Amino acid sequence: MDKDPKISNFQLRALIITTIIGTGILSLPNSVARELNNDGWIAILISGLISISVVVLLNKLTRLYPRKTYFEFGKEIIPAPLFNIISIITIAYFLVILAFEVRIFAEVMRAYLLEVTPTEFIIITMLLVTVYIARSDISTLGRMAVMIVPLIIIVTVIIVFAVLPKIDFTNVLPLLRIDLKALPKAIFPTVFSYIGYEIIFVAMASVDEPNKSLGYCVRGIIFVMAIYLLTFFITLSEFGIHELKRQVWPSITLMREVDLPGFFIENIDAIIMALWILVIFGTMGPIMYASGVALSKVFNTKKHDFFILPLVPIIYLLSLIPENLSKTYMYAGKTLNYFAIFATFIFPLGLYIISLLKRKGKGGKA
Amino acid sequence: MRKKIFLILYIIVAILLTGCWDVIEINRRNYIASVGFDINEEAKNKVGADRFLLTFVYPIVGAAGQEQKPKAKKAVISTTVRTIFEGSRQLSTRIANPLDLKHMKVILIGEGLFREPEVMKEILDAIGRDKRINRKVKIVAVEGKAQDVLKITPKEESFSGLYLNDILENDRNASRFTAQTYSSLIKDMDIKVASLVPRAIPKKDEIKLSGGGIIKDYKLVGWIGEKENGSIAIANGKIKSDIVNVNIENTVVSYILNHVESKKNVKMENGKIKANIKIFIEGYLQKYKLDTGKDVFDVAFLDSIEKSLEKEIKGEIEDTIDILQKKYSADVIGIGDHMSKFEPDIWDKVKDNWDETFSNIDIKVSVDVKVRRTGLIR
Repeated sequence: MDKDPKISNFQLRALIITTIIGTGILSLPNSVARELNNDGWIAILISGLISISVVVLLNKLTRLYPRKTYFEFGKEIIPAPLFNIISIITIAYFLVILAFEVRIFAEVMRAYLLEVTPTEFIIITMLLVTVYIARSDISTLGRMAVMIVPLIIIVTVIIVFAVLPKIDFTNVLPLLRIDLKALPKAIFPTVFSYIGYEIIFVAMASVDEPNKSLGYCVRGIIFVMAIYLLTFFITLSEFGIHELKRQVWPSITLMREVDLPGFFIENIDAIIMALWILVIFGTMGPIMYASGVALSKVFNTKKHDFFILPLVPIIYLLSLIPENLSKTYMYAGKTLNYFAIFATFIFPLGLYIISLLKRKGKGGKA
Repeated sequence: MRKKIFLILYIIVAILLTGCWDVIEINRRNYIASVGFDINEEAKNKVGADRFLLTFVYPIVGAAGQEQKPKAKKAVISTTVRTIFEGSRQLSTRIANPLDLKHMKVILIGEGLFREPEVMKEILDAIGRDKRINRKVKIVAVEGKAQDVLKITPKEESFSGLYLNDILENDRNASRFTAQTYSSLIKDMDIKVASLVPRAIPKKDEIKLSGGGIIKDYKLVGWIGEKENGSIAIANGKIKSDIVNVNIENTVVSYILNHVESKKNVKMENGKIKANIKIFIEGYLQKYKLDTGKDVFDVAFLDSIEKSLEKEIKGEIEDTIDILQKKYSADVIGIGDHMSKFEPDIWDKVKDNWDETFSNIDIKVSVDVKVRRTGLIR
């Protein structure tokens, strides 16, 4: 049984959701509001639709080669040395995501919970914890994801109900006064907040009913889109557009606005933060796992687990490159977006077209 | 072998996870309940001098215990500083325990300081940036010096900061002042460019909260009284309860309003902005007079009471709006806010010199009063 672990489609959907929702949700309302003002939700919606189309592509591609991960069947489509370059670029991309996630995680931790604890220490402990889950197999990750998705729902429900009594929904107005020129500029970084669906690369190989998986994948993205939209509207109604543009992490600062009558705890951001650590864990675990699997396929080993621990120092050093928070966001914006376009869109699309052509050729021969 | 290595690793992780850099025991913290900011008059015109006078109030935690009897239950401590957050650092040379700002309830700002908008912008930025301060901290403007208010030991509660907080939270009678939090003040500054902050007046052994200060673009431009404050609260629809007295045939009738809805409507007509404020008020009769020969169950009489109440409230609101338009040109009633949301096209044209525009727009007020209950006797 251990040789061939399986996950269900339900677990696949949970994996996609937890992997996507991470640090992006904290700053997303601010970044879209800065570009599009009150109509930031359009950017969230459109980039969600773009992500759905990418996910459909990845799903179709992986289904052409059942029981094999992206990093295995890639070698069948194009020559192995060539594909190894693609694999390594993808691994580098995963490592940058991990470094970025863990750095933002540490910064948020320092800003709201642990003021004196060194950033390095927060990073290293979080990475070590993530190593633990990343060393296990995909079915463990699937079960973890199924446990974390309700947490995301609980966090969102707490947030919504806590701020609902005093919220002013008229702050959402005026609607639909879009500046069409600003739209592409806003969509580009927003697509970046949907990254994480790359888990399909490795997870699809273990899905027990791959033919039914497409709907689950798409619904996963729709779920994320709904959470993002809700967060945007709630933060916008609470802060108003001007204050929203000022906040670095509006989703957490929102918690500091809560002041329920007769409520004995005031700064409930600490509770939300504690739950949110698990959400970050749910993002980093699968990505670290995926990079381990990719490495094992590059070196043609059977197991992936001994590749995980050596990744920690690399991620650690990468995460400490930016000097401060604004540089972190700047570097991430510069590298991750381009990486993401190649690793999750252009490479898979190329492979898909080549494999389709190959199959057609074969069919012609026979 | 591998198992042993991992065992050691896990043990290391367990050891590392038990530490906490940030621990300060609860009895070692001084919880600041309120802070007063004043301008330091002596050093006002010197460059690089200590510009501010900071006053902190905190309970002496030992005083909560029953056995010990310390001399004072609270400590009021003042210091002069160049920037406001230098204050807590500077005080660490004078007090034993670190100051904790997480449970700060009220920020009092002295009149002299509130009249300097550039300095106020610095202070409000510092408050918003600091992660320790709750965004729902209440802002109060002080007629005079904030230090004077904090020095007072009120009769009921020995603790002026918490006492102020209690008054501010008791919003059943909030028409005399309108509590303002940091986040709502910032929002008002963003959209309306004008806001209202409750006014604290230091008395001998009590603190009076009444009326409010009009804040325009981070600057305190003037004070308004309780009545005007009530009218503004009604016009904004943000009121829970208020009493209105009206004279009907030489008898003062008291009416308690307990539900207010306010609807604004702005139109552009012939290049002039016309605003309509429709106010709907529900309430009950608190007092009439025995043996007047009138029956309040008489529908016609009740109607006449409603009519005179409408006239009274409408007059008060119109007077207040007149003051706001002519004297301060401060849009505290939120016409600009309404326009930016519902009439964005008109707003885009006028928002750049809204100050002038506001004092010239036509504002019509219509009030609809309903007396829902008349009490136990006819």
